[in-house]
Amino acid sequence: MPRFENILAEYKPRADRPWDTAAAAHLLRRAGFQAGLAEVKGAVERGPKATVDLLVDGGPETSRARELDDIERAVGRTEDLDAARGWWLARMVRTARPLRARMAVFWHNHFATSNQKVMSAPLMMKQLETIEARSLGRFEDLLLAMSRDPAMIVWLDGDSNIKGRPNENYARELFELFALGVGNYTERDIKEAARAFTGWHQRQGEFRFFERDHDTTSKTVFGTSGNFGGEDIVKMAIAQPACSRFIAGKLLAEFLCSDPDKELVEALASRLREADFNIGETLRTLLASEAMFDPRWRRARIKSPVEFVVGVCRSLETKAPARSLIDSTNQMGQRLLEPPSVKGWSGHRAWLNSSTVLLRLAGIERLTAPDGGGMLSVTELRSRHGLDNREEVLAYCSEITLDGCLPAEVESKLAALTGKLDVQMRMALRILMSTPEYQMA
Amino acid sequence: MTSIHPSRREFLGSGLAATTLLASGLSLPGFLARTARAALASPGERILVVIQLTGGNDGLNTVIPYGDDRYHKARPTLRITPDRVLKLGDREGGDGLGLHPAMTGMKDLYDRGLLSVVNNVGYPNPDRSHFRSMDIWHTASMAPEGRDDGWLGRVVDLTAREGQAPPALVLDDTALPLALKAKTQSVPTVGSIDAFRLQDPGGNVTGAIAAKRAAASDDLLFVQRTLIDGIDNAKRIEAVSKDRRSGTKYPNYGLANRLGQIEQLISAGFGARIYYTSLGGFDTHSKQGLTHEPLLRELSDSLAAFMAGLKERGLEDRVMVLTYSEFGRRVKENGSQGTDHGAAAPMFIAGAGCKPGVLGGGIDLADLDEGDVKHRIDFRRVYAGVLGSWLAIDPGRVLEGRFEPVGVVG
Repeated sequence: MPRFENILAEYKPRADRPWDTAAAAHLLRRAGFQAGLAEVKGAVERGPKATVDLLVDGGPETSRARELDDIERAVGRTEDLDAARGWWLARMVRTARPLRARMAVFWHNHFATSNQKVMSAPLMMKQLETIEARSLGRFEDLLLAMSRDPAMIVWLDGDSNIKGRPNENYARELFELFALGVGNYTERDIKEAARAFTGWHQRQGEFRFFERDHDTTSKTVFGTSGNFGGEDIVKMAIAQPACSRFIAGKLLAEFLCSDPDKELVEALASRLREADFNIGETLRTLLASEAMFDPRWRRARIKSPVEFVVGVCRSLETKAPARSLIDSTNQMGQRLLEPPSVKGWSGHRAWLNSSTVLLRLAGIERLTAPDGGGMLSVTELRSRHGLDNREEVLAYCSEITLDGCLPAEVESKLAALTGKLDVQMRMALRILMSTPEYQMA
Repeated sequence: MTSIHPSRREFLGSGLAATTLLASGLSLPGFLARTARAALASPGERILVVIQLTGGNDGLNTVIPYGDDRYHKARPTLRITPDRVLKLGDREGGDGLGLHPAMTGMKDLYDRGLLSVVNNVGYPNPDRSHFRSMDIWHTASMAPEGRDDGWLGRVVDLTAREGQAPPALVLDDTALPLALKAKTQSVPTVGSIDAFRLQDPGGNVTGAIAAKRAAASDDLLFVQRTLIDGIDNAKRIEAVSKDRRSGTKYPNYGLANRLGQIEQLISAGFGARIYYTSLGGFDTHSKQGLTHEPLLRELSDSLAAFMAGLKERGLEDRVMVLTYSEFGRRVKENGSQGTDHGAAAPMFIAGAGCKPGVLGGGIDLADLDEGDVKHRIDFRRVYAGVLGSWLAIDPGRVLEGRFEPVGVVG
């Protein structure tokens, strides 16, 4: 049996790879966000497999998240992009289904559509709904739904794709960025596939197929000829050998490590094909695998601004207003609903430069300042978690930020703190969240 | 040029991160010590400012071959009629060519001998993907997948000196462009020189970040180095931004605002030799008329204001500006009153040091490459010209192979 079969074998806790709070916190960070104490404890008790099942299947939603779903329809009607962004971020903070929240951002980045061209917050919200309903289902359903998504049609000029005057934009990005990757198709494949999507338009925010604008002559794509429509092209792209590798590589970069090797990609690609491109089942395997708990990958991925900001809020149980969630993620370089290009955000090291790191540091400084706008109440945290003395406070702070694994010098900085307990707690949190280690998941 | 500028003295003193780091009583690991010792470049050095036009600028409606019937036939709705173009015929190479009517500012620079146009710039076997083509321009390599550093990043690696300022600065809202990726340094990227302030009076935060780790992955070291560079640069830039004496009025555009801040940094002796910024939105697949004209106006007016600001501060001889885009656009307009991805396009070079006029010959619309303008000047020849004649760096140390430099320096 080739070795790659074993990489994805189910993780069995053992002495050198125990299922402890650090392992549970790691899984929750990867499949969700930096987690609070209760979430980590719950996962430890449940065990790795049941925790992954709960992440993939999604447990009952919190009442605070359901509140937001009730106002979704109202948000979807306004032209206010920040209302949409704020709603989305606030729900990520409140949800009991963190993997679903992460997958929505993952696919938003994959199908990177920007409101800078779409210029309609309701269409962007509609695309988000389309993504959320299919984020853990079969890739074909998602890819076809995105090919018919009105925001996508505006974004990649579908309305000007007409029989006799094809516009190649969607066909090119479908192959290059959505399904196959550069080098796995020819210029001719693009030109021919573009004709299969002629007549796929949108009117007043609804998908419409205009038969008179559709080119019904024969097209030759990937060496096969026929009177193909867009549905056929989607199926044919997914059937290309490059597709499972391309999607597997992106899932690995999101959930396991920034630069997965060929062996890992092949293993997950094979799992993806076996699961008939069901993303949820593929992730169920990956998240509960030996690879996921390989010590090499502990804190090996740089948190995106959304992961960073939402993680800080979730783990510290803050009451950050939507405005500050929006402003922080925007400034740190991730303007949701306005990715920089159709390629999305590059991720990992590209998140950090000497400007964005400062915005992270300054954001933490504001949050932990005594006049931090009431976002963080350390007094409340202390009473909720029964933190009555210095040792308990420092142990709590270390646990929810760095899983209790502190570099020696950081530990000595904390040991040297003086002053009132609340002041020490704020400073300890500021120091811990400013470390290089905390920037990584 | 020997006296120390007041703002220069300011950040030689308290502005340096070395102060913070050393005050917190640390012994610095080697890679951090380099940052902490950063100081200034020599004052008279030549500076290159690069403006990236993102999305693929339509070269044919920027430098317009208005005398060619083929242009008018290929562009039934998008063409600029001969009576509207700003004709370039007064200088060598400009016969039959004109700038878009929105580009009055750059036409004025051209008339005053401060602008050169390099026509037909591209590379063999043009790639029409935005990202791969931009990567090719950024890495100056036909196989960009194999390179994780950019052409300017290599200049950074070659010119970074102990005790000198960072060789390059990106002033933009985007992540660090591949062009500036270096192997030894992380090039600072700021959205604005006012974007950040950080208080760490006790040095607790800086100390916890900078302390050497017992075991650290490459990625962790990268994060640590970037955090330190961030704190260092914030202090440097804060000191410089206090020096506001600009007399030039900049128009109310994002690009003008960024160039104005670059002018401030150059005049305050920030010390970088390369500044990089961008203007996006050039991917004009449909209704191009509505978007292309305002973009060209923003470029032209912003550049004209920048050159005026530099002149006022007596810096015009020291600064050269270069613009480029990942590709031009198809000669024939599409059915959506737009243009699809094309190949070769013009570059602009501005500054008192440039060779005024039009280089690279006329635009031949009779001999196309799959409907696109053929490249007659490899962009690496322009890079070679700028590197060798302006920055005094052997192009052979930056580019893969030898390229005959285009004489862009007058």
